[in-house]
Amino acid sequence: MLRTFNTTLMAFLLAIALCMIMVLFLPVSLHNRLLLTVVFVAPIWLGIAVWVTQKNNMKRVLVYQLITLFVLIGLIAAGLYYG
Amino acid sequence: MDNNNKKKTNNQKQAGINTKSFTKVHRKVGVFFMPLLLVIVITGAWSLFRAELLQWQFPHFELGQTSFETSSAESGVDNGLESKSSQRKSLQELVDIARNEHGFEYSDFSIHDKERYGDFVLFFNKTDGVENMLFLDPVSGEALDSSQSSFSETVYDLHLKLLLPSSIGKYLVGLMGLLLMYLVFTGFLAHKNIGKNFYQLRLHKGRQIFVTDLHKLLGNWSLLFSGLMSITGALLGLFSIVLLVLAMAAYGGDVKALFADFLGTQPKPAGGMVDFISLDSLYQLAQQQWEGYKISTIEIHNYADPAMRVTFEGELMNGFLTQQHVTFDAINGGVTFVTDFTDKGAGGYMYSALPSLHFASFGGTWLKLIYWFLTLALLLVMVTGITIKSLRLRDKGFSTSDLIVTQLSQAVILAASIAVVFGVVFTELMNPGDYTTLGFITLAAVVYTLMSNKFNWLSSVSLAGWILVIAGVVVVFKGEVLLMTLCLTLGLIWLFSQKVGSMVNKANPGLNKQSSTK
Repeated sequence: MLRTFNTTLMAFLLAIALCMIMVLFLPVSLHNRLLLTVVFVAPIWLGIAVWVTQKNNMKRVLVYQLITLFVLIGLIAAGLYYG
Repeated sequence: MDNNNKKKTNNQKQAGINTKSFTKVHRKVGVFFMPLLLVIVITGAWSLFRAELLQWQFPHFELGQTSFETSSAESGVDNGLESKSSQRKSLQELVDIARNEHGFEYSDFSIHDKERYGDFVLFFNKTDGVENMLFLDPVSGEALDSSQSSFSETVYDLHLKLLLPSSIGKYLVGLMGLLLMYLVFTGFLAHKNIGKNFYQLRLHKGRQIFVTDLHKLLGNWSLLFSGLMSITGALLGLFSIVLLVLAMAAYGGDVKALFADFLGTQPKPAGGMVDFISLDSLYQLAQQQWEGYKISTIEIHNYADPAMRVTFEGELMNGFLTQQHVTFDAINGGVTFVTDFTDKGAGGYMYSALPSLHFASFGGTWLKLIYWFLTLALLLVMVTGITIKSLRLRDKGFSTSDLIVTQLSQAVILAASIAVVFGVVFTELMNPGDYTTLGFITLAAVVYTLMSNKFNWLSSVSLAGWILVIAGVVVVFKGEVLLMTLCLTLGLIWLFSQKVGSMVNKANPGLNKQSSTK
């Protein structure tokens, strides 16, 4: 159950957060950033999902994912606020 | 041997890959979502020939070339068709016929060319979530009766949104795309010796080993195609969710601002009727926008209103880059907005190539056939996946949920075959483009599957194969070589998937005896 949660929802949230970071911080034009993000959102999710699948300790993975998510949210908030 | 095994597991630990969990997830997810994935993949394969399906279903419409380009200087057009294309009505005449004779009096609508919708001109409008379509013969101006539901559109709707309400269906299909992508990659990574899977096919070591090898072999060789299809499919399905996120990051959550930035905005109708520049003249102007620009869709806003706008959407680089837009003010002929993805960096090229990669729009029939055969490989991988599962559980039997999804998968394959046969070969008998008829066909397929399992009749997949093979043979007499190829190949794939096991057993009678004595 925890494995499914980590692979699907958490991985998807992380992928979305990473995409927002890409839109906010990539050093290319806005249109290019947006379009690159559309193209890469699914592969990013896949990468995270595959990484999560082959781990054994799901509690530890969940903690890693939560920490990463909080850090990314912090960065996104900073980007939105000062950007 | 033990030492070897230990070394292997040590190597895996060093590489940090836990293949067991990949295998476990691959099996569970694969079996559980098989029926839905089968629906999407089979309808996707047929959707490649969406234009042809329409032609096969309504052959009594003797249609000429319907490209908007009146010069019709395309290469490969034979003389007979060229003479027909010269009789084709102009774009403006067709719009007038649609509005005056067929009651298509919407102020906002779009017109699509033959590339995607057969040799018809399709008029499309969506008002309050209801889609209004009018298929028009561009030579005679005759329209398809609204009662003649188009089988090709039903097949495409199934692939696009599983006949569900638009956004929910698209999201579901998008999620299935993600799942397929996940299955493809976990399947690839689940095996210890990946290199070997590209060539190993053990014919004389029993049914299970042969089917497993075939599953791995086909899966590996079609990996790139399956991965590409699932990624592009998932992105196209989940596009609107991604847009929301992007709008949040770049436009303060305003999706409309995002659209306006890329596609411009359309003004509100000013009211009243005015004369406007003929659509054919605007078409000529649009063609001069880019070199090699091929227009596929014309969107018209506020028809005959002082604020009338006409947007042309088309392709560059032989159809590899889609979605180049140019919008004209139809009153004075000025360009009001241009969307050029080629000047938006690498992301622009990648994004613009997504739909063409998925729909194979950058090549002709040969490319579609290549896509077709690769999809057949994917289908065979999926069906052999189920066969492996049943062979592994020969003594134990399936769990109830697995049994349900397996039988549903068989029913899907049978229903798809019956629908195709009535949709494009024996079109006079019934029209599976109609949802009710399609429902009855599916129900019949489900009932047959249940009965065949109970009374040991011919299995649904074999029956589906025979139906398609016979249809393919019948089609030969109609002179439809392409349809014959499609029916025969798909039919033979279904028959092959059912026969492989018994073929291998016959090839190795010793092993057969052993298994029977067990």
